Amino acid sequence: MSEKKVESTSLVAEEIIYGRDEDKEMIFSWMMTSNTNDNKLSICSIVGMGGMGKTTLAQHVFNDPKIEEVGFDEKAWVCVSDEFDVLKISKAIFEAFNKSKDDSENLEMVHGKLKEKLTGRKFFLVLDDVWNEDQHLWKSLQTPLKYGAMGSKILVTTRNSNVASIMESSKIHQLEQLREDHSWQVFAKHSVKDNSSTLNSELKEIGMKIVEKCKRLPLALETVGSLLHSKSSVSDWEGVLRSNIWDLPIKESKIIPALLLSYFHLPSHLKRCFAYCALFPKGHEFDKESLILLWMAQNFLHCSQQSKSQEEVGEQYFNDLLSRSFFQKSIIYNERFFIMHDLLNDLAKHVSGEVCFRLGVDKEQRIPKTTRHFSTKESPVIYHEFKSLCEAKGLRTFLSINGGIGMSMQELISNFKFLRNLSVSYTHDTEEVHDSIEVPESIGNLIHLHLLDLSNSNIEEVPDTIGDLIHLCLLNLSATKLKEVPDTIGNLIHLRSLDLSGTYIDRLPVSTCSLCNLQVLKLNHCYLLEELPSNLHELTDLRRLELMGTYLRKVPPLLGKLKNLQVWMNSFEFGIQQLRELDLHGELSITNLENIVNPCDALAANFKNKTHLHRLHLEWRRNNDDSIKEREILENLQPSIHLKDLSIQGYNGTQFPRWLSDNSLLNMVSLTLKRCKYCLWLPSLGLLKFLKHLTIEGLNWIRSIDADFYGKSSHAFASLETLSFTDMKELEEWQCMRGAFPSLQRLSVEHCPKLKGHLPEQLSHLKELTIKCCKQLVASIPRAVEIEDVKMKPSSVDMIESLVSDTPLECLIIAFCPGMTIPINHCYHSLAQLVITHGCDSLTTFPLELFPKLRMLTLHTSVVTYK
Amino acid sequence: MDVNAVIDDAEQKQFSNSLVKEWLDEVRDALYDAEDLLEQINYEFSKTELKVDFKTTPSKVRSFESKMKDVLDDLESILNQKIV
Repeated sequence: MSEKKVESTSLVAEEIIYGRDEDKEMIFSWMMTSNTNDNKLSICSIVGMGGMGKTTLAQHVFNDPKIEEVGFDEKAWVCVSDEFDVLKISKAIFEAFNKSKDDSENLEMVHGKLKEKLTGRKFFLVLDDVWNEDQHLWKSLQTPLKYGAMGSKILVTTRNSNVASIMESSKIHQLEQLREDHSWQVFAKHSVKDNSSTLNSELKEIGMKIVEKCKRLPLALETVGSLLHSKSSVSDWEGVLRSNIWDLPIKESKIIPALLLSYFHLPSHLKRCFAYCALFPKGHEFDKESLILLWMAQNFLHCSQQSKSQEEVGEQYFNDLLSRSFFQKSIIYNERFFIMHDLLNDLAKHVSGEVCFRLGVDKEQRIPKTTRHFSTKESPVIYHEFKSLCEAKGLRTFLSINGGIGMSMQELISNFKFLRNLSVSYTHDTEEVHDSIEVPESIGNLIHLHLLDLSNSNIEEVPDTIGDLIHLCLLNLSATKLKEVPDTIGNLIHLRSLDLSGTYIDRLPVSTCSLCNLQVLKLNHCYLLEELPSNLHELTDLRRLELMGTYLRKVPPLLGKLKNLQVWMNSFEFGIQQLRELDLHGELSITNLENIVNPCDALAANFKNKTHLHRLHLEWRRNNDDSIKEREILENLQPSIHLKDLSIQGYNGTQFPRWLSDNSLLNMVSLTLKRCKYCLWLPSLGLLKFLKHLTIEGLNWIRSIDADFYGKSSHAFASLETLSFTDMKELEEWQCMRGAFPSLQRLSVEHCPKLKGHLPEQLSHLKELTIKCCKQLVASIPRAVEIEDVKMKPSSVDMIESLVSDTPLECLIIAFCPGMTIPINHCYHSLAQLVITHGCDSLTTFPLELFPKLRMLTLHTSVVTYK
Repeated sequence: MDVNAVIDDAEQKQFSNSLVKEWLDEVRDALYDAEDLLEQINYEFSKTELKVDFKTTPSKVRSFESKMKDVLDDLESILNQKIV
């Protein structure tokens, strides 16, 4: 109940931004103007003190639908923070544009890739929280950015106006405090219990005075407002107003009184949890589950009600801190992650004092002896003060976010006997510090250990003594080279989560089944794992079993007894009826349906009730030509209405099942039908209003795409974006329907040798068209306004002139189409790549001036002279 | 006096008075030590319960006894400072 409420307030807080309309307007008008000096980057800096809402404003600009009107080709968000390492930031920028990890090791490489990515593209880049005042560093960073197209824009947020000027911002926007009325709106939004009610006059009066004390600073208003959300009596509000924290001298501590006040009003159990977050470097994104586990390892989670699990308590704590605005959702790319505002991070560090030490962030010359929690983001050995850590004998947390442990495991163990959390996770871009870790027998001496995370390290074995760590509640050895799990693992009776994903283990010891508190077991991508212990169902608390990417051939027979278990698996071979009781999540692929002897078994598997299964792949590999039985089996495998992605391959029935045509899979987004070679008709799919991708391949007996396919609707396939027909040996006719495919962007027709007649004519959003080996197709290219990419191989399709003259066509590939003509009486404004091989015989001259943007031209065996 | 009240009071005062902050840090440190010791005792206890390991027990108990005395002395002296 309370959980839901938290969610909604935090979402509303993100959706509405008060008092920043003019600022937003201003930024958009800067965005729309084209720059006059074309050799300079167009940069706008938002300058303002911490807590003023610079990042929030930038996020709102970034996510505003209006930004589509500006027509950027690429946009990216990069959090820079106080360390300005040109290589790291360049990499982050490239990764943000490219939306994938990059493992380049030097600046030249990254800049090369970035230049290639951005050349000629109009981009929008946000550099959030910049502190760098060294102009050389900035000059170096911006080199590849200059290759972007005219109109590219960079939005910077910073607390320091010097930063804005050394970046040579074309616009500097000073973000001011909120107006009084807006300040009240922000405060009221967070403090008033539900949106409908208003404050009584007495509370309102006190509230006004509190707002005044917040000095019209959005972060202060939000935090204090959230604090009062849980308090409704006049005396509580008075107490907050009269608190002497407002009058504390803040100069030296740089802590905003409003935030400190919120901290003091936290119940003590939340104070500890919050202060512990001082371990995180600024701008660190964290996920809820890992943080809860860190708290659990510190014994922070206590509960008065016996019935609540530690996880539920942790969840409650987390949501309490979130609703009080101590954490924020990271809303740019990944909604699963959270972040702390820099000023709250400062606050956490301030209240935890010497207890937490962040190497490379906290500037003391020595690590205090009284340090209990230590974190590092990089290889610790590069810092001279790291040596002094050994004197912190009472260390409880050693958290290495990316940098290894900087000493031998043996040393670590003998130095820090009181460790509760040893977490050394590597990511893949840290090859250079990938020091080899061996787990010595003495690991068993760390009797206080609650959490052990050695994921991504190169350990090959763990000693039996691991079974002495009886307090261990989390063990993560994923992505290591572990070959065997010692039998002693069964002693770890407090273990709640065990992650062995991506290891080389071939079995789990039977003793695993005595881990009576185990809730989560992850074995994803254990390629060598052949079977699970048959008494796995004895793990009565097990809630989550992940088996993605394994080659397990069967499920333990009694697993279905575990009522709260969620299973993630993607393949299995024997005994489909055993899936009956399992609450399958995610995706499942069954690749040997020919093994099903009795169609009733398929029905027994009860797919219709597996509402959390979103992807299903059904495949027959061997051909046993029992068409009727296969049809019955497929009919019995009807999935739930929540299925999003379905693929059927190698089906030998003559008809598709009823459930495919009768709209019972209403939520389907992607459908693939392959090698269903005896089917005589396509199912009727036009009414699936969320269907985006449809792939049909190797349906050899289909002769015609007719009205049934469209489902007799005037707007059939309303959302379809990708459509492809491949290898349709007998397909002769495609009956087109007016108004169908209104959203189609990519159309591909390949190897349909008998197809005659027309392609759909009016596809106004078509961007890519591919036609290959359809020798009898004499249709004209559909009329489209957005077409960017056309590829053609042996076909005799006509090019109509509107296609090439009015559209932003960027790539045109024509191969083996001798009869094709390319109109050369007008300009191809956008065409950048043109390839003609063995085609267009009529083309004898090639007027280059008609192709102003052409960057790549390939012509093969055409008789052409250049003019 | 209620410990929580003292600590709450000290927590607020630490920002204006560095002596209070120092005192608080010492309290926290001593409590961490005490907690570590209790956990150690708890561990040994559960181990002997499992293995019925009588022989080592008397010496272990003595060592815990002296450690516990240290911790208590620490705490006491810190708490006395408060009154001054």
